[in-house]
Amino acid sequence: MNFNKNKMVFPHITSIGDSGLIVMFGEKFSIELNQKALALDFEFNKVLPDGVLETIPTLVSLMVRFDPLTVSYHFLKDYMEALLESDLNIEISGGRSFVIPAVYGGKEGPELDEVADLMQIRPDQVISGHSESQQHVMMLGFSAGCSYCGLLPPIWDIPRGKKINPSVPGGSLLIALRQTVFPASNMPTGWRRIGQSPCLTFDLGKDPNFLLKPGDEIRFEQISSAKAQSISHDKLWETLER
Amino acid sequence: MSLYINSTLIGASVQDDGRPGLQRYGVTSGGAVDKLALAQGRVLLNDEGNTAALEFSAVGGKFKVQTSSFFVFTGAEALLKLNGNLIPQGQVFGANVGDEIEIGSISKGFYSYLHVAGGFLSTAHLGSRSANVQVGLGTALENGNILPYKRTLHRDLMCLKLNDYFNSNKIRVVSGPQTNLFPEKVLQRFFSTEYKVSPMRNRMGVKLDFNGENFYTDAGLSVLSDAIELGDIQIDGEGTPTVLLNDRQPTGGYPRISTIISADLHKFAQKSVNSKFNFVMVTLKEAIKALEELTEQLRNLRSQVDSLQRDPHNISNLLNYSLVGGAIRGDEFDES
Repeated sequence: MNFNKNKMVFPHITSIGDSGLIVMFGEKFSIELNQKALALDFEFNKVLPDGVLETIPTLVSLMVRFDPLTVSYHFLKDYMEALLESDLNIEISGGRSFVIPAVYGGKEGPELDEVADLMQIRPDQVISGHSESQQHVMMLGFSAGCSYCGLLPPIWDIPRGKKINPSVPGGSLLIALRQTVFPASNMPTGWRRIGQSPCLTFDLGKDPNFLLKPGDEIRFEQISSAKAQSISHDKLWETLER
Repeated sequence: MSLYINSTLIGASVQDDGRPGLQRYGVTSGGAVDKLALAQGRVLLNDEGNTAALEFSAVGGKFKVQTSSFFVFTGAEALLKLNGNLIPQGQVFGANVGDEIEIGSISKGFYSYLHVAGGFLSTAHLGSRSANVQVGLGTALENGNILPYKRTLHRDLMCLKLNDYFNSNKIRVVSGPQTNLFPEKVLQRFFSTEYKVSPMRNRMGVKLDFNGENFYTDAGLSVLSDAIELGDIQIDGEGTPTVLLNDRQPTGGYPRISTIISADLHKFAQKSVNSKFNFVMVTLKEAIKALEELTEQLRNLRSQVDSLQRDPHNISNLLNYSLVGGAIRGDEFDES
């Protein structure tokens, strides 16, 4: 066995399984690297080579799944290298802009005070800080429609909680590591819940089924608990894009 | 136009080719774990396209036929009975209204498939009938539920000799983006270790048992979440390996030491609990060659299917064929 231990140079392209290719932009997270991954995804999807089945952008990488009996890994690697040499326009990554209503604190955000303590600010400052921040949808992962959004300002760099909450509802606003995780269905989590949106971003009854895509921008807008109850989820989707 | 579920079902679900293309939205493809067994059923029933079968794991179940049709059973070995009469696997049989199909516990392998002519027609979600109840796609199958299918479609009583691929002791893998995060010594040990399939397994993944030290990597602890591939071997925080299958999560932050090649995925998934094996590293070229061979095998299935209506003198195991169970009344296909 001969394993190559050379230091990686980024962007780094390698195979994953026998039907995948992954382009890694770095080892540490940054919004710039995330935008590069999304920009590459956007460019690559403009004209997909034959045999490509799907592309999966994540925090700082892009995975391509393909049929290796139709197209070879080496062809796609060369193809990607050529794309990477052209200037990727990170401004034009196909993103849209959404304003999403959310109730902060109370039973909808039971860990708001804890987050305020960790950030050493008041709960109302947590709410205003969060709802004033324009966030990128950096990737969808964990479960259907679950969005990883960020980055929030450095003051939001708080750790995940030590205990796992076995189930938080879809629409929860979950906070850690300068990110908001915004799930579309119940999930277990160690992240702290500061709010709840009446909007679920995955709906089998809608077309398309997923409201958000990686590359979109979102801002949460504070609403009252009473207002959240009066919002019809069916109508909500049409009114969110700004 | 349906099959009535007449027993408790555990670990059974309707599966087709799955829903590839949605992992970027957080949905993995799902689909039948054993593609070969799914393809065998389709060929035997002369069905084209993405038809769905009922996938079983470990235990079987009982069913009452509510519309006469033709069925076949493939994959892991289990006793199949029609009204109490044994029917061999890989043999198409007709069943009439009121007949009882009974599938016993799986004795060899892990996933079996009951196919019906034209496929099961449970509700499709996101372009596939494959159920993944945990993520809200499809529903769990319960005693008293019905599994719909088309009105009676005629099928010939074809049969296929099913080969045994249920206990491979070598599972081939290729390296991946995180292989090199493991120290050379840990990698050497990973490939010299004998593994045992643990009972901690489902369609999401299979945890492996082994003797010896766990497979630690310091570098792997800071891996950022990225896309998980089918067959990835994840090393969790405790240093134990889990092979991730069709209903895996879309993204993960645990390092993956290598990935099972496409041609061996069904062989791995069919291994019984407690069966032993080793991982063998191969090159990408060897993995593609193996996939070409499997694709060729799937393409050749059609030419291997035999009609049951042949000279009985040439059938060495005639008694294994349920000639009576395959009979039908004759009026099932009338339009009325």
